[in-house]
Amino acid sequence: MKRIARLWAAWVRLLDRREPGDVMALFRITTGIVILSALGALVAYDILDVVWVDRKWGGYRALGSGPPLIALLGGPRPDVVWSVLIATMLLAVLLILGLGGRLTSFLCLQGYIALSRLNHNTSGSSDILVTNALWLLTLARSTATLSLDCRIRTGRFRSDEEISAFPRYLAILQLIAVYSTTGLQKVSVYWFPAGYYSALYYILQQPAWQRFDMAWAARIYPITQLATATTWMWEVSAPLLFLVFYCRYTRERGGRLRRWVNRFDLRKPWMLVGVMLHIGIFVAMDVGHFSTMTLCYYLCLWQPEELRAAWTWTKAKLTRRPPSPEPEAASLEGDPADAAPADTASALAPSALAPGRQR
Amino acid sequence: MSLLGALRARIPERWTQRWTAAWPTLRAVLVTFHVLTVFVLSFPSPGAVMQRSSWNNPTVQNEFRLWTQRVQDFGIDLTQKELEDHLWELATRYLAVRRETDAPFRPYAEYFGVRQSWRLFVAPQRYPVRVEVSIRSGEGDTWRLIYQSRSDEHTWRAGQLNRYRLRRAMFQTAWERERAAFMTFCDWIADQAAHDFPDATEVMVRQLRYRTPAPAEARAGETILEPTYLSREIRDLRKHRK
Repeated sequence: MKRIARLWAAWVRLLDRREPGDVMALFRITTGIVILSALGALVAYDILDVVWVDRKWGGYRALGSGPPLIALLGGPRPDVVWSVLIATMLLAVLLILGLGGRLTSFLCLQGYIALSRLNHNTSGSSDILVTNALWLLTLARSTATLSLDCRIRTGRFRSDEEISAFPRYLAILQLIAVYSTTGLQKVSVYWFPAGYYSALYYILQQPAWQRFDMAWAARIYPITQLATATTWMWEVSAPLLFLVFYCRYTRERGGRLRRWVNRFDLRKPWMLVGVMLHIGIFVAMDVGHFSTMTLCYYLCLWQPEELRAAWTWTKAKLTRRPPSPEPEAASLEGDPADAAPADTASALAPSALAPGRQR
Repeated sequence: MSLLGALRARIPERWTQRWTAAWPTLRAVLVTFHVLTVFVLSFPSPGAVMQRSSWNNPTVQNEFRLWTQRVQDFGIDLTQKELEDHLWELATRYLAVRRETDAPFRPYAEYFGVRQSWRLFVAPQRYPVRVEVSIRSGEGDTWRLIYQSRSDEHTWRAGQLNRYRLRRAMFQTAWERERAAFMTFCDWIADQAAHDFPDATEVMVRQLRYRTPAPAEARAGETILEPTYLSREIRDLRKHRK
């Protein structure tokens, strides 16, 4: 019983941690861009009336009364669907600009749910990833920095004001849940040695998803086999990221395993495989905004200090100057007032790697 | 003072203190519920494939055949029919349990966008379907192919039909459970063809099912194997002209 009480207290403490809002702000901005592009594509290619409007008004199938919000507004008629789409797109713009705080993300979520659930044949995991992201952005104070809200509140676009870190942790949990359960559900014989790891080769031959003729993949079959094995193992081993984060967060406790895990930043190779996988999917297949939305979640693997350090390092590389210890906020905003030392070395020091600060 | 500030000022100090003290625990309870929701709902599930008609799909049958062979290679005496029956029974029981375990989390997932369904490329479609649309201008006339999935030559309305949402819709209509959607899809195609081809009298929508070539077959120049038409729908365009 005492052990449970201790664990619960540790859980409460973990959820009480706070950190600067940069990561969640970037997550908000990138999610907004993905929503705009996903919904914008429906308008640009004249698909909206085909897929999300009832057959009675020109769509390709009967949609019934639609999800609750659409039903409340009168059903999947063109005027209703277009109104909800325009409103959701406007909310996505506000999300990018960071205006309206949690209310914006919550309303955008409701609009996106209403649209994406109109026709289950035309929506998929990419849409579920978006709605999960919007709910996490509702839980987070994602407009604390890099937003118009911040500008109105403080007179600047950037702020070091700390926000709850737990929504970022939940985004990491979501990413792990996506990969591990998709890996566990890959039950085809072609994903295993018994099927010669040929799943990826055959998936690339499916006309439903391929962007262009992929018959040439037969000539690089061994590479597709290697990619199949890597993808499956990488997906099912995603829960090991929990161990990586646990070891990082408890690094002061010592121990051989912890030291070994912390010797390298294992998030980097994990992310590298993921980025390559998603770039591969994006180039070869049209599966909507799944890859771009998943990559938005990758931002949450990093702490705000680490992203700031990466930004300073990139900027220094681009301007061919060594990373300077000058305040990084100044480089973003032209205002050194609220800047923290952000050169790579200091940001990667053990203190900066701490998961967040206790309130 | 803002309205919110004024309202806050009206709240007794001891209430605020009590709330501040209780909030971390309350938040932990709510976040725990969220974590449980993600954990429980993301558990593997056969989903819409849990229909006998879906199990008769050639891709699914091919999987059963291959798994039966592999199991037999291990010296286990099991026929494909037995394997299917065992799995059906197991999956039915599993889904009955899932219905109970998922129930407390469903409303939260539905209204707050926290659904978890990550069945991505469970199995490659060894027998995919290609959609073909043809028109003709009279009963004795020959059919003219105007659209074919992924074709660079037959590209009528490819700007719409080749986009992700419609690709997905067409992919779904190849499953037996979505036949009704395929029929209305054909009606929609007829509406568009009637508008775009004023001289045409009929439109035909076909779903060509074929086996994708194995790597060695593809290297030998094979592209489409064992082709059969899953469906063939003809619409009179005069009825679709407004």
